[in-house]
Amino acid sequence: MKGQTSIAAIVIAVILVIFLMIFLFATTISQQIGSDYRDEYRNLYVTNMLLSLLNTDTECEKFSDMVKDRYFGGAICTEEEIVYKLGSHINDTLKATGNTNYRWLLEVEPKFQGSFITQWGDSSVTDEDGYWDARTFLSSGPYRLEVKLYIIAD
Amino acid sequence: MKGQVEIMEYMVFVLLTMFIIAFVLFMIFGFQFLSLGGEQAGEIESRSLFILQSLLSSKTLNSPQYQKGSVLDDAVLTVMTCDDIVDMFGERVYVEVRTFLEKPDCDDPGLSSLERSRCESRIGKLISMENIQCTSEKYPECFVWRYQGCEKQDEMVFRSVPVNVLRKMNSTVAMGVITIGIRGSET
Repeated sequence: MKGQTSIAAIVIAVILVIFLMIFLFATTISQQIGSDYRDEYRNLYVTNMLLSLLNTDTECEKFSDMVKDRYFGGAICTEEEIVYKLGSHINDTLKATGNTNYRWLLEVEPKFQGSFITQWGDSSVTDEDGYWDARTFLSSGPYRLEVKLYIIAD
Repeated sequence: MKGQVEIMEYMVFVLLTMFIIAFVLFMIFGFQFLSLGGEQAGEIESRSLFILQSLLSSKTLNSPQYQKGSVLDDAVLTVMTCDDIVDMFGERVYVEVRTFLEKPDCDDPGLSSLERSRCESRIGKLISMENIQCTSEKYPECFVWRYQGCEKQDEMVFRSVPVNVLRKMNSTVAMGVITIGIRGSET
């Protein structure tokens, strides 16, 4: 009888472990399904934020022209105006989509020699993990500028 | 003594058997609950993404003169109805588009206190204007598009992404946000 109880206890323990593993596996899979869609949504969000921002007209000029003018001349907006307008548009949009307490960085990297990288916003965003990012290119003749937007939750 | 030990072992065996049955039942129902929740969450997420992407890439809604990004045409948004939304995505779908007005910088150190106070009052007016809903009567001096018959409902899941809207009144592209709401279980 003692031996039977020991065997039964071992069998029970094995079954418990198997069910526990199945349960953990199912939990992981169900979380993974949600996380894949969340990543897709984040990509759509940040890409649209960048493209919409560059397309937007302001009282002085379009954002994409502000970026180009910094490298190729003919700027209409002052640096202070650019900083204010970028902050105002990005923060209004983040707020309207329920994403409060976010920081952002807009970075422009020229793809030609002898130029400089421009950053607007919080440059510490890229030092941390978990930011959302999107990139696009602006062209002016043979020259190309890579524009990157990073957003991170506080 | 031997009899007592055997009774004790028997009781332990019975208790363990009952425990395992309860545990297996808990696992089976828990597993079903989790897979159902996971499937439902996945369905809501995929459907909301599909609706957002369809609206953002819709040739009817977008202005043809812009290649990059989504630039929605404010006139089309104004004539669109809830029936159009139902035709495209079925019932119980909420769609809202809103645009923002450019606000002046009231923190400019060059402003006097009187100018700053005027600036802040102007911002207040602009913010209240941003809530004017678009109808055929109010267009184009309006900034929010919602559709009668496709209202917000309880237990809807909402998703928003930034978007551009072409304002035909001054031929400018404004920054905005498109929000959709869907209900998961009944669809």
